[in-house]
Amino acid sequence: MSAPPTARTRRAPTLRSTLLAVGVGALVYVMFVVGVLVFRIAPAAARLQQQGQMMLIDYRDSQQREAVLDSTMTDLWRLLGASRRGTPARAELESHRARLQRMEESALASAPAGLTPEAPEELRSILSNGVRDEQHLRTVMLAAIAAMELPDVSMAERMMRRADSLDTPINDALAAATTFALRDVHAREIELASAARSTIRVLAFWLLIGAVAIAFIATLLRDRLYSPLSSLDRGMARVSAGELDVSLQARHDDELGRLTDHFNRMTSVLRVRAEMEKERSERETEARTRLILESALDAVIVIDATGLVREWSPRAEAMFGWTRDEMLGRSIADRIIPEKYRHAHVSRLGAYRAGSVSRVLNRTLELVAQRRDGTLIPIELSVAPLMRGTEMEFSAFIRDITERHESQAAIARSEARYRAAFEQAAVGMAEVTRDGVFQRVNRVFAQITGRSEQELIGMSTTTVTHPDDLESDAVALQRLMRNELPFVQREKRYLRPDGSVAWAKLATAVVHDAAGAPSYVLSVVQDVTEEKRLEAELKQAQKMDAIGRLAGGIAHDFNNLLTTIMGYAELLQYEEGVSKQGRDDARSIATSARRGADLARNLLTLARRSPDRRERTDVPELVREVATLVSRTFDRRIDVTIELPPVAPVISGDRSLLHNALLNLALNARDAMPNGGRLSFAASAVTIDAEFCARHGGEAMPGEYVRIDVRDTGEGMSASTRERIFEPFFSTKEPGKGTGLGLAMVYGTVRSHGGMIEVDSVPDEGTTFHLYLPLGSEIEYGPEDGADRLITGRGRVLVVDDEQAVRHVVSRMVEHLGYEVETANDGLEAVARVEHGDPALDIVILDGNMPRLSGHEAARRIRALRPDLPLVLASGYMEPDAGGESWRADFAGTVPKPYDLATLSAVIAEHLAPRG
Amino acid sequence: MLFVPVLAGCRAPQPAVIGDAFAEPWEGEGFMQVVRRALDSTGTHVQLARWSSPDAPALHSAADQALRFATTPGILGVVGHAGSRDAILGAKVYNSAHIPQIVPNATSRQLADVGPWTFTLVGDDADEGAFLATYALDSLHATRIAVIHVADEYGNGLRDGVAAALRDRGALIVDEIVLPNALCGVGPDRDVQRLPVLASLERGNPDAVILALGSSGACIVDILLRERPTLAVLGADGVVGTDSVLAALPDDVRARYRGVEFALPTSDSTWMAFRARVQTMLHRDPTPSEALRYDAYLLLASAIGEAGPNRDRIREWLASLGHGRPAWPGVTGPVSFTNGRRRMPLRMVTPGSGA
Repeated sequence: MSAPPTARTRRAPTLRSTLLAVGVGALVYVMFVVGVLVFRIAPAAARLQQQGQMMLIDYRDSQQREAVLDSTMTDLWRLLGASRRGTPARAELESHRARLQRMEESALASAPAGLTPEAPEELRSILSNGVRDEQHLRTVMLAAIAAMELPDVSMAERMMRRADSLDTPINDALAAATTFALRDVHAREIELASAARSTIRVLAFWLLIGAVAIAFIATLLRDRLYSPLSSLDRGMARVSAGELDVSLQARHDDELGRLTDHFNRMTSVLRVRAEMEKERSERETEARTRLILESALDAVIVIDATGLVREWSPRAEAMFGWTRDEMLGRSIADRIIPEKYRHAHVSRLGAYRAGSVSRVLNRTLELVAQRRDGTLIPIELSVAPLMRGTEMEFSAFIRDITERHESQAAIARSEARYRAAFEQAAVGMAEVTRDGVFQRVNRVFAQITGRSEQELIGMSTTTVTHPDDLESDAVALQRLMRNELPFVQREKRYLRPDGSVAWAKLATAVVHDAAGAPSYVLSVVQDVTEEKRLEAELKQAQKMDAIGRLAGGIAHDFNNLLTTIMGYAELLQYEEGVSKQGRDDARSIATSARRGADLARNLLTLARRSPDRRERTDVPELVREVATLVSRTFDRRIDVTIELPPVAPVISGDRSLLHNALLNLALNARDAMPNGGRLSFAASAVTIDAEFCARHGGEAMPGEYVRIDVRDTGEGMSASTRERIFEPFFSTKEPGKGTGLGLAMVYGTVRSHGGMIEVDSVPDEGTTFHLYLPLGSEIEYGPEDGADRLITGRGRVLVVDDEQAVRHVVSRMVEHLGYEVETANDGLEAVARVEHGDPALDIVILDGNMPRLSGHEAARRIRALRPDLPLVLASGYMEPDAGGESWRADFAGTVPKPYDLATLSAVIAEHLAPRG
Repeated sequence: MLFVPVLAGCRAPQPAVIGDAFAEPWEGEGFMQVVRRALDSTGTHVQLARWSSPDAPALHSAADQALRFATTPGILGVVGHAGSRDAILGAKVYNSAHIPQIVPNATSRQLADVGPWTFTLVGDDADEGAFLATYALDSLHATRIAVIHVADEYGNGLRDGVAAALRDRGALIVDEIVLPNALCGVGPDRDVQRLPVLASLERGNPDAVILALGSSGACIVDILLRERPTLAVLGADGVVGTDSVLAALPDDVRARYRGVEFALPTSDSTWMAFRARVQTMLHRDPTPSEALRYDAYLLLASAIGEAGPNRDRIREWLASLGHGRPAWPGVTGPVSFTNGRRRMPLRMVTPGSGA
């Protein structure tokens, strides 16, 4: 439905038809102009250009052909002269014939460019005649050449004259064609110029018409299109900005005029609706405000610019104890602002009214307010300006924050207690974020990790964690985060900056925030490095003990066998009727048996159970001896140095074992320096305290020690290798190059001497072994080596051994020395013999390790029966706990298996009780 | 220049138009009566639009004529032109304008490549040249062969065919001259033709000469046969007008000349009927060229009748002959095309001997 036009509206064609008319007019105009250009100018210009090009091509081709024909004609006349003289130049004739034939072919292959259907008839005729005459000329010239070749000179001359006669018409035809073409081009130029002039006149006229039309169209468009649209645009802008009191004037009764009428009706409807909406909104706002005031949890107070209360919510009544009626119209300063703040409040209000910037408005402040009963309460205050009509008011939202203050204080106290517990704990404590970064650590934790607290905070746990423990760390953290476990207890290693490793026992739990989400991880850390070290020491000792027991058992049986072998071999040497070769063989058997005895002794060092063979050992001399040996035998690229104290410390020990220990260390050093280096030996006297001893297992005693250092500049060892080097059969060398017993024996030797051993090693820098051996005070001397003379005697000797072969050979040896022999199979039988009276017994040689009754127990019982009877212990191996030191009191002496005849004779002679 | 369509049919409301592109005046005007009658008997209403200005300049006239045909309302196809050069000039226009063209007896190699709208009823010049060379070598046992030809596409193509065939057999052309395609001259003009021929015979000393000439061929045959008593002369299909020359020669001399013609199915009933029709109307036998031309008109009329007045469908109909459609039964034998070409067998004849 369209509204009727207003009284001032003029009737007009529709906008659509107007625009259509303008568009069609413009299109016709443009087409007309283009048509003039295309159909008047372009064809004439194209014809002129085409004609000129063709004329040029034809002229150039004709000139070239004419030149060739003239040249050929001249040459043929010359050749004809030569033919007359009887010297026809056949090669030249052949060349000219070929050239003319090629011209013939090319003439037939292409016609003159000007010979087109569009060319004037006269020009086409001229060009065609020219082509025909040229062909005729070529034919005659070819005939002349043929006549010269035959040779028929007169005929050739006739042909040449005929050719001459044909040349002139060709030139005439060429000139005629050129003249005609130029004339034709000139005519076309005139035609083009005429067309151009008339076209320019037409275009000028129509351009003038176009200019007038454009002015008319512009006015029409402005009046009909632009002005109404612009008016509507402004009107719409005002409406969209909220202004509804807008009315536009329609000038024409067209689409835009009707649109303007619609717009006016729309704005009037909107105005009515807006008024109604405004009234309804004000009523709702008032009710909503009242409801908000009554239901608000905060106290809401409205004051005017002078500080008088205009609104006082029920919550304000409850908070301050003043009723709404009591407060409305009263100064707020007098009622709820404490006395000491009132003046400042009044001053700031006055300053704000005077134009100053308020520091209170639109901010949240914590202040103190006064209740009706005079008590003060902490409040949170937010004040915002409020325009009511033209008057400025302030709305204040007040919250009683007494409880908040109290809870904050409680939290602060709790935090302080936690901080104190955290900082002063005897164990390490660390808080770690969920990303694995230290956010808080205590002093003890810092000590465990070898870093400062400041250094640790912000550092990733992976930085200080041993690489082998990273995975278990991650797994534990994941399980905690997934709430699979309330806490995790485990052990892990920390890497200290100095490269050492600290073992720790951790109890880790996740701390959650108030919402129950994981906040951070709290770890309680206990340093167990020392426990770990002692545990390792214990394991090593147990391991060595087990091996020692095994070695001891073997040594016992082995020494029994050697005793038998050595005994028979020696007896054989003294047997009459034995050849010299036989005696030598027996001596070799005895020598081998002694070597076997040395091997057994070495085995026993593994368990620090070497038989007592202590002698006075000059340590510097021992070190010098080993250094001299290695400097002579090692690679010359290894520089061997020694550093010894001015006063030579002396120890009590097995020189051979110690020598072997130092040599083993030197061999290991050599293997660690395949490309050469420095091997140094040093010895010095040191005092060891109890702490040091405890750190090394507690078996060693505090006191004076000599320390022997063996240092190399070789490859060094990793921490893991260092932990295992004293294990028997542990070796880093290639298979076949090491038994894995070298350092175990060194360890056994040192411990069997009551000493300690330490290792310092840094990869790629080298290794140092420190051997601590107690300085000797009571030096015991073993049997003298080399006492090979036999001491014979008389008396009755009881040989007690559970091994029948041993009993037999020892009996033979004793008999060989001139004594009478009795034997007993074990301790019980020996005791029985003594008990039942065998007064002729002068000495008893007892095996230490026998079934049913051990040698020690047997000795104790025999001593009880006959205290005067000397007892000699002959043992291949004595369990260290088998009687401790007390056994020495029961025996007059000892002879270690295997023993030779001379040793046996010396022991018996020394302890044999003199008869009567 | 006048262009006057000649009505071949009558009272046809919208007759189809076939361009007759044989411009030269020829004695066979009566033959066209035979053609028109045959066209009328097909039931297809066709008009023959003819070139009627024999005085037009020779050069470019073929292209002019083709342009005229291309702009003729209702044109559905063209038969012609005569000779390879004109056929090629016209073919370029017809292929651009998409007008089917049937070339009855032009033999240029270029016709095979000019476009898909051109169909030839005979083989090309190279084939004919090879046929002549092979005949000279195998039947005449010639060892030295010369060539005399016009310098146009026809003469060059035939020369190339001879040269290629000889090369394949290990021989060469001993001498080669170019002569204009002019009428036989007398007096000095005869010398103009005679002297190059004699010089060629002196140079090459051939025992056989192959002629690829047009209207000048007859007098060159006369010259060659008279000047060399033992020389064999072989004329290509373009050599015309030899009958009167040969008739004036003794039998033994005339016997040294052989001419090429297309081997027509003279025992075929279609041919017999065509021959009887020509004999009835013209009182003579039809020539091979006439037979080919007759087939061209009738073939195009059949295509229009079958495919309708649509040039695309007419071309497709022609191209499908022998390829999904049976060969068309012409008086010169079955007609089918491969890439627009039809292979026609050739044979050598001695004029007057009938073989």
